[in-house]
Amino acid sequence: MKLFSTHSLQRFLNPLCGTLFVVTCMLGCIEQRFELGEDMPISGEANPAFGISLGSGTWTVQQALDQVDSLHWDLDQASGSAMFVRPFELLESPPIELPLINEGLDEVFELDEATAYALSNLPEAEQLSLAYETSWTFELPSMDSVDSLWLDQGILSVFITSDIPMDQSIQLICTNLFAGGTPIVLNVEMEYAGQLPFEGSAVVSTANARGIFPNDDGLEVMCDWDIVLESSGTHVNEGASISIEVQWQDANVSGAFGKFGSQTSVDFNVAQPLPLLEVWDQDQLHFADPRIRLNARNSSGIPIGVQWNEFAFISNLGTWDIGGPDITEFPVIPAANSVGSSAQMVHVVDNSGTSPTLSEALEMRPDSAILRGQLVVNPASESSNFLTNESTLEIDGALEVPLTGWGMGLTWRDTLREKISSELNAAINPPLDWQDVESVALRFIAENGWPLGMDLQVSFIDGDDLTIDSLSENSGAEAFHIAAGQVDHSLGSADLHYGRVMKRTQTIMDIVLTRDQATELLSLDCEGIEIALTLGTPDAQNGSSVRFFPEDEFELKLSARVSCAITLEQ
Amino acid sequence: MKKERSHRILVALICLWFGSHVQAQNAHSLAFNDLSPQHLEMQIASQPQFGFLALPALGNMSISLSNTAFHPATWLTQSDNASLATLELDELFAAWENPNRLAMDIQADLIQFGKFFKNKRSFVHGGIREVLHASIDLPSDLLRLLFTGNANFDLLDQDALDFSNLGINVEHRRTFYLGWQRNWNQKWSSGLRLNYLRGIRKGELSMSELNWHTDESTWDWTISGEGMLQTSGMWSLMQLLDSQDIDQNTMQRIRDGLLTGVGSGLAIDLGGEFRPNPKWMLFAQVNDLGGINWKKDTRSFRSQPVSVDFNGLDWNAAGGWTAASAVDSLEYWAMGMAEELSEMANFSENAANFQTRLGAVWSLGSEFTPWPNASWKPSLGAMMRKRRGLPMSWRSSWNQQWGKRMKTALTYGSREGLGPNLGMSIALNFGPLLFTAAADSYRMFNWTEFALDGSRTQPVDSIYWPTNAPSIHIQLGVVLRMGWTSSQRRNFPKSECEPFAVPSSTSSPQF
Repeated sequence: MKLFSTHSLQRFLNPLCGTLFVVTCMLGCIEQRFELGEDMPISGEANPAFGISLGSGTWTVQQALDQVDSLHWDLDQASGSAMFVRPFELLESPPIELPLINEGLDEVFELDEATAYALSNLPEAEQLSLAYETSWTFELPSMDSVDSLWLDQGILSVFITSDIPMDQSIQLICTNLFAGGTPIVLNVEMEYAGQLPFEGSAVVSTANARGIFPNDDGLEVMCDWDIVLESSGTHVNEGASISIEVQWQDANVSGAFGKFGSQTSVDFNVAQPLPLLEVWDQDQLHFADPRIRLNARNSSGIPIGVQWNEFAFISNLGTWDIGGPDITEFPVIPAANSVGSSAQMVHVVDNSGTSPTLSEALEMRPDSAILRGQLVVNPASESSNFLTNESTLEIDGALEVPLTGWGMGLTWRDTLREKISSELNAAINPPLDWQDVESVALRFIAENGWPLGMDLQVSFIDGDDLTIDSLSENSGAEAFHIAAGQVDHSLGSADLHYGRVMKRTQTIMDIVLTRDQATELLSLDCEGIEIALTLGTPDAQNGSSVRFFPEDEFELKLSARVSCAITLEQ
Repeated sequence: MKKERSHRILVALICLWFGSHVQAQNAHSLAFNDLSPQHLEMQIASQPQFGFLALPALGNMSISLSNTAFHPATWLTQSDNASLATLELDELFAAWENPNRLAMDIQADLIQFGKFFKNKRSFVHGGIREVLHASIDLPSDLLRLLFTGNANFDLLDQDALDFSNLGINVEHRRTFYLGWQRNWNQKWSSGLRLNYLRGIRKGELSMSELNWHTDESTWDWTISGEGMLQTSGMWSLMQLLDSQDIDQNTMQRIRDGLLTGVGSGLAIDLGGEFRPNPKWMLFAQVNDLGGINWKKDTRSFRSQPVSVDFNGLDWNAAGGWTAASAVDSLEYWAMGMAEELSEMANFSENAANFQTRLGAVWSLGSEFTPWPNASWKPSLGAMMRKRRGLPMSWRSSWNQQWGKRMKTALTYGSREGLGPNLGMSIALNFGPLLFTAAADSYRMFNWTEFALDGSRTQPVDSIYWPTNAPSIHIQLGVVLRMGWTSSQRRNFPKSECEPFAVPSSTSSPQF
């Protein structure tokens, strides 16, 4: 054994090292054995929880109102709050019809003795001129006086019969009727052919003609006659005459300037359906300041008054006539200053000028409104009116309901039909026994800047719409309440911030679906979810009003957390 | 099925082979076993007992595995009368409390030689070595995530999960080395080794900071972090593997890439040895002092410190969002968040060269030989080694010569903070062949059977796993001993007394 020497320490160490080596290997090769299985118990606690923010959104009052696209919303200029608007058309027509002129004039120029003698002695082919001035006066309906007229059609004609045996040239000049800037002139040439009487005529159009009438007495056309007689050498009898017939027919007046007489003209009768008000529950919803805004645009030069026959809200149950100064003292619609311009008038009918008030009338749940009456032309007999064929009177209106008031117990319900139990069971394949899931929590974090509190109730229903389970029952009645934004009710109605949310309110709500609830839900015959959302404004029971502003924000954030409990009972 | 599995394993091994890196690992138990040529790795200033010529690819093979994260046997208990084991969560959490690291290092010398010169006062050695490394660092919070979640605020520190120091590192390099050991006199000797490095592949992901904070009230997330990914020689490989179109040409390109490499560098190993008297020896040494400049097929991604908030979907922005399209919406959200993260992180991508260090290893050690002239030459050794970024290693060793043919070292120590363990090295001389075997962890022998009995109707299927072996290191080698002559050809003088004791390896090596 040269390999292993004989040193005394070596004699001891070599076996020791060998033994250590063997023991080490033997110890190392000893196996442990563990049985592993699905039901393996776990000692200690591990409750992993996984949270995630699912999403968030911010909705202003304006955005919410825009969703109701069947209704029209606007901004109340006075308060800045949002406002429901129901527009309607009341009237669009000329305040009064323009007249059509169909007038005639007969004139006879008869020769006296001296004139007849002079004409008889007039050498043949010599001429004698005669001149006359006449006026043609007639009246236009609805006008007390006429300053001027615009004509867009019409025929002015002259028919002359003469028994003077001479060639005649007759010129009619209408000195205050102008066409193209010059007076209208009609010329009639008549040649004597040995037969008496003989005739002549002339026609001129009065389209686009203008008439200027300086007198206050009706409409007076000034006519200058210039008659030239040329001798034929024939004796002219005393009493011989020239008969003139002037006709002005189908003359459409396109503009009349002067003074219109006071008279009633157009009737109006508007029935405006109000379907929303029909379902209005005055115990749940109160609007503090509804109003009817009437807008009039008058492009005529005639002031127009409105004479109401009926201003009422009606339903199957009755009719509620609205009186009060806003109705009985309805303002006159002013005249336009000039052709082409319009005069505007806005009149607001609100609670302060009505009896009963609009709020009271609306709370009677009318289904429509009736507005009936007549227009009164120039009620104050003002002068310097005008009316053209483009003059109109437009009156429209709108029922304006600013979102100012209170509401409580307003409930919105919806049912989502889905076979939840069967769908969940089908989706979880293989079936999930929720062994490791302790609960699933949905956290709603609401930052409410609306003056509106919300209560949510979610119920699971069966095929017969019977409630079989309710989340609120499990989570407590207050679990799904979103508090309204904070409103300072001590402010007076004149304050700028009256009824306005001064501070947003944060509400955190957890909907927790525990393992037991989930397994129960899976076992139930759940075929739908019924959601009931109950809305109310703060302090509504005391009649405190709030106001909704378009920029008021409601922010909702949804997060989810799955809590697991993998600690099992051994 | 078996073929497919084999294919997957093969692909995984190829990836691992192509992607591994960094630190050359040697069994610490070889530090004081000078009969083995691998002894030079630990004491470069110390002469081995023989010159050698390694058999190709067999002269030195080493594999080191580190696992501080997954030791199921330490998490389980099972009483005698219990049918199933119990998972002890407290043990599990405690095990994961410390930094968790999985690493594998493989090194193999393709060529290796060593020869004495100048009347054995100098020893020159050299070789070509393949080194592969793969490691992953797993933050404690990442491992515990399944048990804590992100929203169990009783278990989270400051409501945040800390994934900092998450890292993945793979490297493959080839080293051409040439070393020179010199005995200057009876007391001093030194060693120097130059290493020319060829980088074959490199990939490194490191997150210097990664935090996932969850708001306790809203459950909003805030993810903040900073990280870096740099690769060389990996990009084209991943593209090839991803294309599923690996033909002969592709394989040839991969093989060519293995030969040419994508980076180069230099490193040196330096050591000194001092023997104040025949009984004591002290040494100091540094290994792997250098680095590699990665030049080809490089990709670097760096992020700026980034913090991203996730507050869920913006319902106002997601027009028409419905539950029915929730999956699409979530996908849209995920893409959006990834884009947002990318924008905020301000990723900078470039293909510039980059440098990596090998990670110097500093060693100090001593050996006490109470009977230096005894033929079995027993000795006690102690050594400390420190690698940058890792805990200090230490090892004590009982060394003994068994005649001319064998030397053993029984060791005890701790390697890179992976817990104390026993180790052993044996160098055995059979004729012209010199075998070396070393292992640093006796715990590798202790395995546990995990019997899976899921349905109780199926046959029991067992998995075997080391019970608790944070570190397993095995090193093997066989070389041809230079200067060996057969016993028939030897002309032994007839001795009349005890054979002359085998001199010390450092003072008078014997052939």
